[in-house]
Amino acid sequence: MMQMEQRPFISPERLATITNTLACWLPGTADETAVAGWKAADWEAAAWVVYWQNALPWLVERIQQTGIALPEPVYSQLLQLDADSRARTRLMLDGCIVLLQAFEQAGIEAIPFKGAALAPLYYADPLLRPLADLDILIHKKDIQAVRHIVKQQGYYYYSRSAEDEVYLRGERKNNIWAPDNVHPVELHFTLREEYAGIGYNLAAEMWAHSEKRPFWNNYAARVPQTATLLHHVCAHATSDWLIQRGRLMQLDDIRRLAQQMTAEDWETLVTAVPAYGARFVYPALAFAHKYTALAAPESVLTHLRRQCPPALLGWVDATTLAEASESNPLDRSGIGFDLAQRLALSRADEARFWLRSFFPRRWNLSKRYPRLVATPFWPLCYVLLNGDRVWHLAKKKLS
Amino acid sequence: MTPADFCHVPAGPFLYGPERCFERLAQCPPLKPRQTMTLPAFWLAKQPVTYRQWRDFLQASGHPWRGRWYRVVPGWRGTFLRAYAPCDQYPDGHDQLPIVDVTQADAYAYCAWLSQKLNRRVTLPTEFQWEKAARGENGRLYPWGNEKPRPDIQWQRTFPVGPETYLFTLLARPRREWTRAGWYWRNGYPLPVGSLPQNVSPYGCVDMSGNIWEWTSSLYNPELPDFHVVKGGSWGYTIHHAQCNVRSACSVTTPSRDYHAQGTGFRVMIEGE
Repeated sequence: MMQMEQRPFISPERLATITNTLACWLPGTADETAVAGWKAADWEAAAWVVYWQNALPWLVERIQQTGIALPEPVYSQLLQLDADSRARTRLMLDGCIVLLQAFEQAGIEAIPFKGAALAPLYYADPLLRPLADLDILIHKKDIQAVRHIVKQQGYYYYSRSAEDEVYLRGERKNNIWAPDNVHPVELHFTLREEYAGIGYNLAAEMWAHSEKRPFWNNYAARVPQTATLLHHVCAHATSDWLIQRGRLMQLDDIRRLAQQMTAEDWETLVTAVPAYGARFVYPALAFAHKYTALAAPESVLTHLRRQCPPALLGWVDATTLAEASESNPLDRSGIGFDLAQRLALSRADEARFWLRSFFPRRWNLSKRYPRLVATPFWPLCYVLLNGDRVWHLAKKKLS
Repeated sequence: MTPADFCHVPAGPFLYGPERCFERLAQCPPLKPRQTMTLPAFWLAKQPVTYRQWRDFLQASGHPWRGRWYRVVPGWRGTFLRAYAPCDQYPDGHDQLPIVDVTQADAYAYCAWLSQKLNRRVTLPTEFQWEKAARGENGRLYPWGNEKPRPDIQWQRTFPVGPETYLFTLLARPRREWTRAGWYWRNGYPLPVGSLPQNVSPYGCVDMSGNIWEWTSSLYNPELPDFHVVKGGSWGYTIHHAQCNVRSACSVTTPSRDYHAQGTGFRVMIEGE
C-alpha cells in the first residue's frame, strides 16, 4: 500500500536517482531501458515523486504509451489517483468558467493563468494537467465586487497576502488530488514573484498581452498570449526551484508552451524580459532544457544567460531536479540567505533582501497577526515579529 | 509492550473537530469543521512509550538514536535553573516517564521493531484515530469531559508561548494541586505516565491531554510533505494546546524525520479488530 504521507523507505540517493530518471523518461529524453530494472519499491517511490510533483497523469500516460508492466498494487493505485486527478481538473475548470462568466456579467476583467490557462489551451488532453488551485488575475479596484461574486459561488475567505486573496470551497482531504478536496481560488492583484525584496512583477505585461480565446467547454475567456504565459510560468517555476520546490509538472508546462512558440513569440519574450528579469526566467528554461527536448532557440537561451549573476548560473548548471524539489530530504530552513546571494545583482538587492526579511510587506503578515494587520496600528506587527524572533533566538541559545 | 497494553477503540462514528490551530503559520491548511467521522476499529497503546520501553528497544535493535536522555533535576537547580536537563546515561528512577526527543523516524523504527515482536502491524495513529481515542464518540474537548483545566491560567496567550508566560512562571509558584491536566505546564518537565487518574480517555488511554506532544502519521498540510501533526499539547506549551481538537506541527521548517525535542514523544497503535 503506497503511503503518500510518508517519504519512501529507500535511501535518499536512490530517491534522487528515481526523480532524475523520471525527469528524463517522462518527456521521452530517455527510453524504457531507464526504468526497466525498477522493482516494486522503486515504482512506489516514483509514485510518491509524481504525487508531490504534480505529474501523476503524466506518469500513467507514459506507462500506457510504453506498455511497461508495473507491479500490483502499485499500478491499480496509480490508476485510481490518476482518475481522481482527472476528475478534479474537470471540476476545477468547470468552476473556473462559472467564475469567469460571473465576472464578465459584472463587467470585471479577469485573466486565468498558470494551470487554469495551461490545461485547456496547451495540453491536448486538458485532464492530463493536475490542478491544485485556480489562479485568476484581477484589478485591485475590483476586489470588493469580486469578493461578493466568489462568496455567492460558495467560496469562503481563507487568507490574504500582499499579492492575492485566497478563497476556498469544500473541505480539506488527505488526498490532495481528490476531486472533492478543497478548491482554492487565488485572486491576484499583482503577479510578483518575489523572494524577500528581490522581485519581479508581470501583472502589467499580462494585462497588456492577453486576448480572448476559446477556453473550455466552448467558453471564450481572456487569456495571456503564449509568450506572456511562458514568461510568467518561467518566473514562477524559477522561484519554486530556488526554494527546493521544483516540480516535474513545470518541465512539462514549459516544454508544451515552448512547442507552441513561434519565432515572433520568442522575440516578444526576449524583448519583454528586462536585464534584471533574466535571473527569474533563465533558470526555469535551463532546467527544462536540461531534461526535455525544449524547442527554445539557442540564441534566446544564450541571451538570457548572459544577464544572470554568475552565482546563479553555477547553481543552475550544477543542480538536478532531485536537489531542487521535494525529493531532496535536506532541511529547507536557512536557504534564504544563499538564495539571496544567488539572485542578487547588486548591493542594493542584498539590502532589499535584509529589509524585507525584517519588514515584510504589510499583508504578508496577515496570517500571523490577522487582527492587528487590519488596523492603523499595523506597524506594531514589526515590533512583535522581530521581538518574537529575538525571544526564540535567545531561548535557543540558552537551551 | 504486550497486547494487553492496548485499548480497543471500536469501529463506528464519532464527533471530530472543529480543528483548532494556534500557530499562525503561513503553511496552516484550512481547518476542518466539526463533523461526524467513521473509522474502523483499532487498538491504541494505553500510554505513550516510556523510557524503559525505549531503552529495551535501543538495546534490542541497536537503533541509532540521535536524541538524548533527559532527567528531572531535583533541588534548587531544578527549581531555579533547569528542571529537565539532558544527560549522557539512562537516568535512574525515570522508567515510567514518557520518552521524548524522538523523531518521527525513530518512532517508526520502534513500530517496525514492535511489529516483529508482536507479529502484528504496529504503526503510529492518524490524527483522526488519535482524536477518537482521546475524546470518545461525543466530541468532548478533553479526555475527562469539557471542564477546562486550570481556570486560573486560561488568560494565557495562545500564540506564541512568549515572554508573558515566562514572566508568570517566575512570579507564581507552580500549584500542581489545582490541576486536572494542567500539570503539564510550569512543572518544567513531564510526569510519569498515568500520574493523573483524571486524565483517562473514554477508552482507557492515559495522558492524552498534556504531558507530551505525540506524533501521528497525518500530514499537517496535505500539500506539504515531511511535516506531520502532533497532538495533545505538552508540559512546555500553553493550557490551550491541551484541548484534544488542537492540531499542531512541531515545525514547518525541520522535517518530522529530523525533528526531535524534549516535549515530543509518541504512542503506537494496531489496526483491526
